[in-house]
Amino acid sequence: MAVAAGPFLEDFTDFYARELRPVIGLAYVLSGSRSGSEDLAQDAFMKAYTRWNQVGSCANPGAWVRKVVSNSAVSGFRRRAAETKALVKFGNTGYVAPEMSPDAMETWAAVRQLPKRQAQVIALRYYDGMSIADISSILNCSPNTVKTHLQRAKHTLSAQLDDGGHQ
Amino acid sequence: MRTLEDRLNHATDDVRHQIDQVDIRPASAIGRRVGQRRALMGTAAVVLAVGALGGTALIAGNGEIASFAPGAGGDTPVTTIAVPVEPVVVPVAPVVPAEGMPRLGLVSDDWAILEAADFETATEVIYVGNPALYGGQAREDWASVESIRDTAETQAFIEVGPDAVDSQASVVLHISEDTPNEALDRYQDALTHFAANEDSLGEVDLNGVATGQAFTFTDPNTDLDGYAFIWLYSDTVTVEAIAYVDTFEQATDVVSRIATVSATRWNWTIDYMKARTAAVSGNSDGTSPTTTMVTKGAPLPEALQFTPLTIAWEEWVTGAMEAVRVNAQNAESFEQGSDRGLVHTTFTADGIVWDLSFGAWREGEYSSDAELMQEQFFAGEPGTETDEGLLFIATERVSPPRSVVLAMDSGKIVISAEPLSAASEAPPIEMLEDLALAAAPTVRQLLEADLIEWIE
Repeated sequence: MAVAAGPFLEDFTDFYARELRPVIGLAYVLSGSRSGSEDLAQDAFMKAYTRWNQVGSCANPGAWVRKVVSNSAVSGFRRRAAETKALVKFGNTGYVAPEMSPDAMETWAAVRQLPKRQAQVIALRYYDGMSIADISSILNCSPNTVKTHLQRAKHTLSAQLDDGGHQ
Repeated sequence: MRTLEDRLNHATDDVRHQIDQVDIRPASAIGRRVGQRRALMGTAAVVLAVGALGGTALIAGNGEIASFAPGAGGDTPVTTIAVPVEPVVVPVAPVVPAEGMPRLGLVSDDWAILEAADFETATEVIYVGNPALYGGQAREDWASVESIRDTAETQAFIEVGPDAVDSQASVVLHISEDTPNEALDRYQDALTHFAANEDSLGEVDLNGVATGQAFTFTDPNTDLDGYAFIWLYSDTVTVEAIAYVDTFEQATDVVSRIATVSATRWNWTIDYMKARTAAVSGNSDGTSPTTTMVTKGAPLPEALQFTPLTIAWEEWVTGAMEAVRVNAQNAESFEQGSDRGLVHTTFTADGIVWDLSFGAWREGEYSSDAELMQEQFFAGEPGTETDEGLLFIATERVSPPRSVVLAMDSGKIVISAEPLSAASEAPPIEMLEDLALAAAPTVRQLLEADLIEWIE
């Protein structure tokens, strides 16, 4: 797709090609909607596309998209999931939902049971491999708050998943 | 034994591997979706998804035709048509004829189809949805349908839930385009009929928007009890029937019966029909599960007196309002509307969708001061004080959606939150904490000084 890019803007198509898959994954682990995760990612990229001059020139456009996805995946995903379900039922979106292993599905399901912030922190930390500082920037809270959420989340997950402990 | 770290890392690898196997949409899909979304947010009609015996799926767009491969959802050929922003006559075919009135067809455990039997097929728009999947956001979707209503001649809307325990099914027959005198005649006719057949509960008032009468009724076919409301607007009569049901099948059945009987009884044209099951919020004792934050040592203002940070409720509320206002002014999207005396504002900022409702709360009802309050809010003025002092409601569309109320009550500052559906648990403390921290620096100071306690 041809996007008019300024001299300091990355071409949107390149950005999209590089970031789409990991963002879909982030949407999936947070929403649990296999068919809706692509929709969530598409929505986020759509928002970026419509203001690419602004988003594309910020320090980390990928973080911007992840912020949108991480928020929408734990809030408005249900409606989009329903819409997607309708389209899947009545038409072909061209999207083949991934099939996770039972173990992975159980793990991410437990993550989604966490309070919103904790789930976001876990997903960004583990799925996206982000630093505490990056997560605090995306979630607009202090690094200490991120650490607190992370600690609480791991404590809960350890108990729920009956693992040997958490680090 | 595996550590949690091992498990999360393995789960991450699994997701990444699976995502890598997926064929994804090309970047060119973005442009099309931008057009679709713009149209969805505009005044055009939205989504048609009719399946069953002959289906057509319609999605709004920017005028281009966006086709999906037919038949992937089953045996039904599916066509997707994009609708220009301006309302147009949309050919809908094939339409399944049915006897008499529209009826509901159950196509799966969580979807129902309203067959387009008796509608003017050239202009109908049918939306099929499932509020259970929305986490109780049926109200918002109803609002969107209301906004659509004026753009198409005939519309039907159904929302049904799959596991509707303690749910309601309702139908609204909307009779529009009358003169005031014609509307009054219809209203009187309906009242006469209901008065002869049902038990009246008396007059009801829709906060000055409409007057009406409420009745109890029993569906003789199902023995289900319910309520009927006949509303008289300035030039419109609406009949709304609500039945409390136990199952999804009951809901669809009752809705179908009510629609058929009501429409044929008075030979009214159905301008649109709404049907839904929606979880009835509340605990078994009738109260809503809530989480409330109060200041330690409540009630205020005594609590504040022992703190080193002396704040007044005005300061706190002003801070909260200012935070929300700043977000609103930087909003990426912005919509306004009104409903039953409340003025609603929806905006998106930083990827978070906020709903704000402005209403003056007086003697148990919202007053018509809502618009004034909204004007004051966005003008940066303090806001209208009322007897009971509800200032505004901020609802973050979390999942499940929760209503967060920031209120002043006799000098007390109260933040409370409650889920909007019965199936939801009370909101977690973190949500209130997040809101409080975002809203007012003074609350942050109180929290850091451990001067606020949380009560679940």
